[in-house]
Amino acid sequence: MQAIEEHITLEDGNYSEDYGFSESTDNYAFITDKGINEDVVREISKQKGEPEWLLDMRLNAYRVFEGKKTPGWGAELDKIDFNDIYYYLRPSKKPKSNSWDEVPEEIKRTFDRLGIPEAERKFFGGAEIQYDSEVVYSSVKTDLEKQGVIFISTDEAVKKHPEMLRKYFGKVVPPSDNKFAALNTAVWSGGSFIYVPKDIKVSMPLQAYFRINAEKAGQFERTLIIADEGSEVTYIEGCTAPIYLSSSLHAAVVEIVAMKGAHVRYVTVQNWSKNVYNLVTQRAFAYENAHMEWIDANIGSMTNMKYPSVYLKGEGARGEVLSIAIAGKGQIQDTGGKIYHLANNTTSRIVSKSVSKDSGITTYRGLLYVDENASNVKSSVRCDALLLDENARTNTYPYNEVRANDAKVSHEATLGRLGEDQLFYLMSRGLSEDDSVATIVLGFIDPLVKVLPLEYSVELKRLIKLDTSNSIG
Amino acid sequence: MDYNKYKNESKAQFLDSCQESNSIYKRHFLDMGEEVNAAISFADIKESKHAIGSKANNGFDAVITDGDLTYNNTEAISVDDIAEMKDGFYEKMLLSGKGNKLISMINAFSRKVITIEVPSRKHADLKVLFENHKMFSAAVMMIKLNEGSSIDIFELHQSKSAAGSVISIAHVIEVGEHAGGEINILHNEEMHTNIISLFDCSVGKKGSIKANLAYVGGSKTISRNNIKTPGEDSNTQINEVVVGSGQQKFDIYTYMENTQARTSCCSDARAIMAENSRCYIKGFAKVLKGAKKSKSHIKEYGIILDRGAHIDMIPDMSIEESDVDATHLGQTAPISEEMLFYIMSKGLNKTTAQGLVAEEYSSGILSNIKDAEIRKIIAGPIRRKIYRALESDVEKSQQG
Repeated sequence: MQAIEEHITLEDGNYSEDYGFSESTDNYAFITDKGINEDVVREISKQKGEPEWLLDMRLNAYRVFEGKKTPGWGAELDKIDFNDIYYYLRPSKKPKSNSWDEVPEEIKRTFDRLGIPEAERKFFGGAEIQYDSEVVYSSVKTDLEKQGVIFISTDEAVKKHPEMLRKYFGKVVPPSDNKFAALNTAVWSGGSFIYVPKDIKVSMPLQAYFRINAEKAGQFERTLIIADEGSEVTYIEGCTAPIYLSSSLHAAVVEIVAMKGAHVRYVTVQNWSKNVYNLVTQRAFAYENAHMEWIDANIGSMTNMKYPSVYLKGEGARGEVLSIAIAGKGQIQDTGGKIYHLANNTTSRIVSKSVSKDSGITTYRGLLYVDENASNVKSSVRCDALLLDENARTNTYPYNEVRANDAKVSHEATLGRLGEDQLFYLMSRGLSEDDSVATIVLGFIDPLVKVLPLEYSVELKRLIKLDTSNSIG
Repeated sequence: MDYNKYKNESKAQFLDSCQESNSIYKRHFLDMGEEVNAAISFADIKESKHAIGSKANNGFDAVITDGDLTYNNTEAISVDDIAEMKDGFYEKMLLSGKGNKLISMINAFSRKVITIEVPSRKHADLKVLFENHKMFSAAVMMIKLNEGSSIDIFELHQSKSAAGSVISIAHVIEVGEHAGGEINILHNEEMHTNIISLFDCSVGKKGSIKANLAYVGGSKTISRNNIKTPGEDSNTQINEVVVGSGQQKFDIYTYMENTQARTSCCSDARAIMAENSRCYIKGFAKVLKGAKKSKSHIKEYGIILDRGAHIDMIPDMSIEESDVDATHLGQTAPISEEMLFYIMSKGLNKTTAQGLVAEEYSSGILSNIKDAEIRKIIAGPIRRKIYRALESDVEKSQQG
C-alpha cells in the first residue's frame, strides 16, 4: 500500500514539475515556521522592518484571531489547519523590481506557464504582480506618477507614505470584523496601495496578478485604495494558482475609501486552484455622491466565501455589486454582497449570477441594510441561478433589513436549469454539446461579463468555457 | 412510554434547546425567552374562568378556552387528555420537539389534544373560537383529513389575559391523498399578549392545503410554519398578512419543502408596519433532490408607514433539484406618492388615501379566502388597525 502511495506522490511530482505546477519552498529567502503564534507575527514585522504601531496592530489582530471562532454559518471551514500553513514567504531574488527585465527568470517562467495573455502583458508596465507573499514587480507608469497617482505595494507604502497608511489602514475593515480579517491583519504581506489625487481620472485600469505558488503557502495580501474627491480609478485583480496536493488558504483584505464624487471600480477575476480556501473581506466606504462598484467573477477555489460590501456614508452615494460564480465538482461558491445605506438619497444594486454543475454548490448570501436615518433610498437585488445538471445545488440567503419608511427595496431571485430544447437547438446548428453548454452559460452571464474591460471579458469567457466543459471538469 | 415520562422528557427537551437553532437566523429572530420563562410558572394553575366558552357560541361551531374544548356543536371535533393518548403519540411528539424549544414547550405544558378529523370523501365547515384568560396556555390541535375529504376552517384567536401572558398553539395537520382544505386564522389577541403559533403540515398525494393567516394582535408574535409535501402532485399555499403598530414585534417564518415530484409550494407574506413595530419575515424554500417538475415560489412584501417601524425580509432558497421552477421575491417600499396623489385628487384626505392603499395591499392576501363572510370578518380588524395607526400619526404630527 505504501509503495502505491509513494508511486502516486512521485507521479504527481513529475506531473507538477513537467507542467510547472509545483515549486518547492527551497527558493524562498525567508520562510516563517509553519503555524501561527506571536513569535511568527513579530518575525514577519521584523523582517519587513515595520514601525512599532504596525507591530502592535498585528499583535492585537492576532489576539482577536485567536479569540474568534471559525464561522459556522457558511461553508465548512473546520478542515483548515492553521498550524499547517506558512504565513510568510519571501522570494530569494531581489524583492522589488522596477522593470519586467529585472524580474527573476524563474518567476517570469511561472507567469509564462500561467498563460497570461499578450493583451495583459502590455499592461505589465503599470501592474503589480504578486509572487507569493511579496511584490516582486512594481512600476508605475510615468504619466500616472506625473498625475500624483501612487500605485505601490502596501509594504512599500508603510515606508513611503506612513501617515496616509496609518490614517486608513484597518479603518474600513478592522481586525475585529471577522476571524479571517483578523488573521490577515496579523500576518498580511504584499497587496497594493493606491492613492488617486483629487479630480484625477485614471484612464487605464490598474492591474495586479496574484498567485499562490508554494504548497501550503497562505496568501494574505492587503490592498488599500483611496480615491480622493472627484477622482476615478479602476483596479483589476486576477488570481490564478497551480494545483497542489493539500489545502491552501487565501485570506485577503481589501479596503477602499471613495471620497466625495469619486468613482472606484474594483474588478476581481478569481481562478484559484480547486484546493484553495478563498476567504476574502472586501469593503468600501463611499462618501457623498461617490460611486463604488465591485465586479466579482469567481470561478476557482475549493471553497470561496466573499461578500464585497459598500457602506454608503454620504448623501447621493451609489454602490453596486455585480457577481458571477461558477461552481464545478467539489466546489463551494458562497458569494454575494452587502450594502449599508447610511445616508439619504443613496442607491444600490446587487446582481448575482451563479452557475452550478456536477456536485458544485453556489450560494448567494447578501445583506441589504437601510438605516432609519437614510431617506429616499433605492435598492434592487437580483440573483439568478443556473443549474447545469442533476447533481448541482444552489442556495439563496438574502437578508433585507429595512428601517426607513420611504425606502424602495426589492429582491428577486430565479432559478433555471439548462434547457434541453436550447441544447438541442444549438447542437442542431453543429455545435458540440460542450460548446452548446458554454454558449448558454455565457449568454446567462453576459450582462455581467459585458461590464468588464475587453481583455478581461475575453479571458473570463475562455475560463468559463473551459470550466463548463466536461473535458476539464 | 407513559405520560409522566413523556412530560419529563418534553420538559428536558424544552430546557436543553435554544429558541433559534438555525444559524442563518441567529441575528434575525424574536427572542421570547423572558416572557416564556415568566409565564410558564403559571402553567400548572388549572382554574379557568371559561367566560365566553361557557355561555355563548356567537356563531362558532366550537370554542376552545385555555386549551380545552368548552363548547362543541359538531361531530368533527373531539378532545382527548394527553395522559390517555396511545399509538406512539408520545414518541412522535418527542421526535418533533427534539432540538426545538417552541414545540417541546407546547409538548411539555399542554394537557389536551383537540382533534378535528374529517372522514373520507366528507366535507367539514368549521368556525372555531380560541379564547384565553390564563397567563400561560399551550394547546395542540390535530387536523386529519382522510382520503378525498375536505375542510374549510376559520379560527379566531382572542385573549382576555393579563399583560405578559403567553399563548401557544400547535397545529398538526395531515392531509391525506386527494384531500384538501382551506384554513383561515385571525390572531386578534390583546396587544399585551405574547403569541406562539406553530403550524406543521404534511400533504399527501394530490392533496392540497391553503392557509390564510392574519396577525393583528399580540405584543410579541412568533409564527413557525413547517410545510412538507411527501405526496406527489400535492399543492400548498401559505398566505400571511401582518399589521403592526405601537411596540408590536412579529417573527414570521415559513419553511416549505418540495419533498416529492410535481409538488407546488407557494408562500405570499405581506407586512404593514406602523409606529415602532418590527417584523421579521422569513421564508425558506427547500426543494429536495428528486422533486422534479416542482414549483416553489416565495413572495414577501412590506410597507413601512412610520420612521420607527422596520422590516427584515429573508426569502431563502435551497435547491437540490435542477428540474424545478423556483423563484423568490422580496420588496419593501413606501406607499407610492403618485398613487396617493391620484386618490387625494378625488377628494379624499391623505389618511384615507394611505389607508385605502394599505388595505388594498392586505386584500391581496385576503382575496385568497373563498368565503366572503370570513373575508369580511378578517378584513375588519385589519382595516381598523391600519386607520388607527394612520390617525395616530396625524395626531402626533399635529401635536408636534
